[in-house]
Amino acid sequence: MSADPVLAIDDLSVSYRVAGQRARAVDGLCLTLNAGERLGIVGESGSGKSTLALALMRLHKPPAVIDSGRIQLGGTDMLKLDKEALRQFRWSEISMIPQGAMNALNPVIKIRDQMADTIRAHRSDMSSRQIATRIDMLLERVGLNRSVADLYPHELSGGMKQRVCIALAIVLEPKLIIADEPTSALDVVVQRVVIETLKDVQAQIGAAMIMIGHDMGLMAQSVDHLAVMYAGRLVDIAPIRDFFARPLHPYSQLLISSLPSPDETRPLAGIPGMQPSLLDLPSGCAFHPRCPAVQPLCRKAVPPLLDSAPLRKTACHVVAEARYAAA
Amino acid sequence: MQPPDLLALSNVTVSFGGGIGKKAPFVALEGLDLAIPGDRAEIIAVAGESGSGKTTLGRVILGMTKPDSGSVRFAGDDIWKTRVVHSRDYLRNVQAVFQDPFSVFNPFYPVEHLLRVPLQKFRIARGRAAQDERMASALLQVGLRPEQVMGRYPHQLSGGQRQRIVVARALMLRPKLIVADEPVSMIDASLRANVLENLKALRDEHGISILYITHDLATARQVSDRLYVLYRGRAVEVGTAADVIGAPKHPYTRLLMSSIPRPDPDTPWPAETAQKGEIGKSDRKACVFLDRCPERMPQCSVQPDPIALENGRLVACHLYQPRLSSAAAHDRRRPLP
Repeated sequence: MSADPVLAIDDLSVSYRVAGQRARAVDGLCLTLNAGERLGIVGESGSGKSTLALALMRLHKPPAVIDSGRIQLGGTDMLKLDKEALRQFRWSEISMIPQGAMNALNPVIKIRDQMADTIRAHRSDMSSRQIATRIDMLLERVGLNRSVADLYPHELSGGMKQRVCIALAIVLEPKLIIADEPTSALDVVVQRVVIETLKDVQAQIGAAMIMIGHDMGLMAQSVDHLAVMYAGRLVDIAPIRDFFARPLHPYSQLLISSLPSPDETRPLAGIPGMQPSLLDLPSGCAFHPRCPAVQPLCRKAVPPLLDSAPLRKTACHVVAEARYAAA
Repeated sequence: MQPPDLLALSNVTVSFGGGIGKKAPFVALEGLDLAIPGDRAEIIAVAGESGSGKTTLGRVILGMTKPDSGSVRFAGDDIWKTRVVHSRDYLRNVQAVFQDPFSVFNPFYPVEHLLRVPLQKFRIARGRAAQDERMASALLQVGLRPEQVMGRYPHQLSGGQRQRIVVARALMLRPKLIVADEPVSMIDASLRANVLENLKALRDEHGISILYITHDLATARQVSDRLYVLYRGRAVEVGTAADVIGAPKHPYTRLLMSSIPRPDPDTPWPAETAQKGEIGKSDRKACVFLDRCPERMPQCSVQPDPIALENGRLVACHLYQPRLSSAAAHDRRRPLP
């Protein structure tokens, strides 16, 4: 067994420079991911999860800037690649299923040609015939009929378009697939089909996957590990079962208790307060103004992300203290 | 005497397209009855997948789509036979919160202007000070800081923020009915509860009824009094939200319930029961759910009428024909040839 992770992010910071100020959308983030693993990242809008996804592809645009850190994918330092090397690297090693696949496909080009373009841009050695065979195989893999290749995007339903996007993402069998809210506009029945397709193809090609979203139910059904982002920082990461059985970070606890259940009626619990502005973060722990377990220390010092249980890390003074007391 | 229903739809059918030499029309709604009582405020959830007609239903109620047949009555008046649908009174009393917060705002105006105009047009608050106060309180109620958003333009706001501004806008006008089309689908879990609590507060404190169009049965259960499940334009199951979601009867409702991802890694999706296929394409003379239904029987080739069960519940499914007890239905069930 190789112990080398597919993805190693070390101290990554991304900020938006707006009107002379700097908003840290991703702040000192460290993560590793092994082949075949599925990691979910949840957080409120503005917590930095989509910025992280874009930065991982180096698709972020000004005013977003990567301030520091390293992104190692399969041993390659992505931040050191030049333009052409990056173009080759993207999609063949790391691919993305964008949010709102409805709009991700070119409306005036047939599915076949969009897929063939992607293949040709990276594999100039493949013949048209090989490409056609590959497209048929890919469509079958995501549970679509081959004839879909000769349709235009508007002739497909939302779920079918999303499956075409999945097929596109695995065209070159990348090492890492990033799925940014892959089912946000789909209804539950189709959502299930899409997620199961995604899990299937990811397992088949043995890629690692990062799934970004805010539907905790969907995460419970889709990923092995769950990471929580708050105001640009990773605050909690745990194996999915442990996360739901015993959430450690107070924010994670609130996220779970705010879930509406279809199986019983209970008062809806929100999370009090508002997500802070990235331009004006509270002192110490960014969550402290909303935290039910706040301690004096939380107002002063930013809690580091520390081991909190086997395979788990949590950035919370209260959790760290409890662990220290127990030890 | 009982007051007339606030809004009553009777046998409403809407179809798009069609005509001589063209493809058969797409039936968005078929024979739909829906009543929102006039004597109490209710939250009525309408659930179904995309293409089931739930957005068309919202548009019919808002007076934006005229039904091909059937009537829409507002406080007893047929809105299309009278001129009610064009009246300022109707426009104010029936407000909308739409699904896509990216396309509802004029991008050239800041939020302040977008909120102030309706206050002026409907003569709700006079004077800048009164308007400012009303706008600020509505924004605070949906969890936005007025000083942060008032001067911003729509493109400077996130989807969730825009959606809350739409809710705030509807809130300011104190209408009698709000048609909320997927109002929380683009909002985070933590704020979703707040927006839904706002909807409940509108009902309980301000007496505003809400038509809550959603595909999320979990939130429908939490906030709504009654639930309509639509499938391909027909109401396949109607009842109190607790009854329908707690013990779904129609095979489609059951499919919906079993497809919800439970927030528990140890409760995986149950084995798939429905037939494959996205939106059914079966003949509309037959049951609309026929081609995906795991329970199909020979009589399903005829569209079932809604069958009335206890507690105001309606189920449009042959399984619940009175002469066919459920045990008997089980015996006679056999696949279609």
